[in-house]
Amino acid sequence: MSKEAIVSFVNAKKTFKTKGKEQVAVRDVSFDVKEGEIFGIVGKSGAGKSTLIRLINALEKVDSGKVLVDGKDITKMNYSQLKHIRKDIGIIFQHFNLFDSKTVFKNVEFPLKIQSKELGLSDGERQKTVLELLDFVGLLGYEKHYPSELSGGQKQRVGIARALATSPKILLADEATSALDPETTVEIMRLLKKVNKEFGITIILITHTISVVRLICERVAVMSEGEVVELDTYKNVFKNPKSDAAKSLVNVFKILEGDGSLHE
Amino acid sequence: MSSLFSAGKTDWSIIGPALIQAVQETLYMVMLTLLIGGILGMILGCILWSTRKGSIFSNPALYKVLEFIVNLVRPIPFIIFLSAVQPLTITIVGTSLGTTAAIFPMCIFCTMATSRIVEQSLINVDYGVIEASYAMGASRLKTLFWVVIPEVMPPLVLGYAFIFIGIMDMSAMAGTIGGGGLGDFAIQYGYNKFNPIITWISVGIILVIVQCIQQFANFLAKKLLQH
Ligand SMILES: Nc1ncnc2c1ncn2[C@@H]1O[C@H](COP(=O)(O)OP(=O)(O)O)[C@@H](O)[C@H]1O
Ligand SMILES: [Mg+2]
Repeated sequence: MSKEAIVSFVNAKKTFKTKGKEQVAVRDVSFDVKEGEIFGIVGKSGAGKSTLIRLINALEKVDSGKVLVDGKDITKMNYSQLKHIRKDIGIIFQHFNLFDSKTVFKNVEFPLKIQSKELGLSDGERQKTVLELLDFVGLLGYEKHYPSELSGGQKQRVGIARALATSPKILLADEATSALDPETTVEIMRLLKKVNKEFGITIILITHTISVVRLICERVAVMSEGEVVELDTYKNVFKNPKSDAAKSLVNVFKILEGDGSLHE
Repeated sequence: MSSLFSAGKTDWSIIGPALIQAVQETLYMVMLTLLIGGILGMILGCILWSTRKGSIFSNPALYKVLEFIVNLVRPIPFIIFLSAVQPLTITIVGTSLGTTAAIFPMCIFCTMATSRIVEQSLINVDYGVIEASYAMGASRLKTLFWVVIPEVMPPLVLGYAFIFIGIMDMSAMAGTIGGGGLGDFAIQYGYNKFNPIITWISVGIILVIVQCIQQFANFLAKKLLQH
């Protein structure tokens, strides 16, 4: 028995119009992400990865096609339905997007306050939740710190705690480690793996390098010019890339990781 | 009258109470303008920012209209603006003379200036935090009040100190239409009576008030910026 789809793209299409010029960001994409998996989306920058992932929580709206989240079409929702489903979709960003004017505690508490009607937590329960989350990401004791006092890795940990606050079913990660050094990248990936294992949260992870995908993803979609040109297990894509985009990504990975070299 | 006319001689029994009254009038005009114009300017500034193209309530047509009005009023020299809106002042305040009447044009000017400062501060907010807020389910208004405005508190505090100094400037000019205050006092008892000491006393008091506010704003902004 295969697991159920938690996110489905059905002929999703998104075009941006800037100054009269049309830029297709996502062009007729259809695929499923299954419940509980860690799914990677790789591709060069400008391939349309961010736009695609932002269709899932409706930060962008499709021009045509459907995006089903937990079986419900997110493209047809009004604000209150969107608010409800956004509780189930956490997101972390490349540049963290923490609220600089708020303490670590207040950052993590923010989604709980926004969703207070849906969650119905008392002040005490809310406080307990925040502290549990900070403990989970290894930042207990940092409640009163401000984001500017933290390292990049710590900031992303706060981002993760904040994204998990409302107990989402899905966690979206948009280049979550692209601004971090390799060691911190591994730490954060380890943490994401733990999120997936302990809470069974589906993770959809975007990256422009295959090395990040290799760390934790089971299946990967390779994107190029707004299209998914290849979709398979990480192992198959890595061993036997079929599309030009996948071949190029694997090739670059091998050069950078030591299998290849630019020396003559 | 003749005793006051003698240059250099300062009759404190007359000037003392007049000075105290002038300080009170200045503070009354400035504080009330800062309160009313500051709040209206905050609201107008938020509307300007949020109706910009691509902003949270993107409405380029409304933005253009508001921007046009703000840009129309702001470059008018205040002393000319005062007489230009005199009919309106009479309609709304009932008179065009006195301290309260002076506050009306001051508030209009203050609203316009504040709105631009608020807008400029808000523009610096990274769109990423706005998106993060939406992604957590926040509405646009909640995002404005809970995220965007708190993020720009330090520059806003400094912006308001800047506005305060502008209002002091306006209040001195408003003195000429019977608004009273330190500007009027300096002209009436100092300049017109050839008594520079009086003028310098007014200047000194204005400097002290401005410095107090500026130092307080710096302290507050620094406190807010500590993170
Ligand atoms: N808000 C936007 N307005 C206009 N064009 C955009 C916008 N967002 C993305 N694009 C364009 O869509 C394409 C895909 O962008 P994006 O999804 O950010 O790619 P990736 O995340 O893979 O780098 C790019 O050509 C980009 O310039
Ligand atoms: Mg991107």
